[in-house]
Amino acid sequence: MSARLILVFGLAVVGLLGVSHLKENDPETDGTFLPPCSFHEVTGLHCPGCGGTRAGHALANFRIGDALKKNALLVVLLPFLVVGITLEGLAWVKGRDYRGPRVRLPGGLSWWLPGVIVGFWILRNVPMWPFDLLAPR
Amino acid sequence: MFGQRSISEMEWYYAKHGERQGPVSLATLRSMVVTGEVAQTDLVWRKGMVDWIPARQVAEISGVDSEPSTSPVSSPTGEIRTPQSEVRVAGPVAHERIPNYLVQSILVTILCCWPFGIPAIIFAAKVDGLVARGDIAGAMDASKKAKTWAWVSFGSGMAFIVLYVALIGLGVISEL
Repeated sequence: MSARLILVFGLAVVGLLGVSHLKENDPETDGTFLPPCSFHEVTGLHCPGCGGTRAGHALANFRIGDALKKNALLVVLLPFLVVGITLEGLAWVKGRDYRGPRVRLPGGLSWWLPGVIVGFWILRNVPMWPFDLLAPR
Repeated sequence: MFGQRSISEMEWYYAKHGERQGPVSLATLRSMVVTGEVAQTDLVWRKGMVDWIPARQVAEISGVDSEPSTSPVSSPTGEIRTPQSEVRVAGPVAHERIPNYLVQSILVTILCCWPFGIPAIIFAAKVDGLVARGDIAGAMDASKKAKTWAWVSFGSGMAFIVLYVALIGLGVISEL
């Protein structure tokens, strides 16, 4: 077993423990090992990831509606991220021998994804309807 | 006469593991395609060509007996090779070796919450489009920058958390 495989396996175990911890603990009532967003602590503004921990808690308990209210972008991106993390992990372990698929973004969408994330970041800080629907609530 | 010709033929470049190799002569490149050292799907280029294109699309190169070496491509068991045929499985196009770091960039942006993740995402998002246009050098450059920014974002996020925890420990921001 290579060192990379052991490291990825270890991270996967830590990740699963994290998910089960997140499932059992509501960040709004018990923030043990569930840190708040540093950007929000300093600026008072919401970052694109704000509400992500609460969304994760809701998702882990299969409450998709609640998760969407906390951080809609993260819920939409999560399936791609899960697939992406798995493939990147595999690719990293296998190194140059990796011949499987990787997450690819077609050239036409080059500006689309950064645009959506930055747009989400800005809009969710606009304190009026309907933009405040994007802020964690 | 012969010498002159061989110099003018040393003009082919090919991409392997995301890096430009060569120059080699047409004859060398053809033999590399035959042995599988250069896959049919690997990108090749010579002066005068607008873009890098897969070797199989260049008649001068792939005209030589390309069928046998392409057959293992579709075989899922291609990893198992017989000893006598050193034919490497014509794997993914060389540019598929260029990581786009898109997943990592999004993760550090969302988890570390600081603006350094944004340039990482912008560069990461450009990689595949550049590859599709044949700009291998540009794609590798964007890939490298995405990686750098992703690490900057990760590092600053970690530094902040350490600082934050330390300050709480010291009671400086106990009010928060």
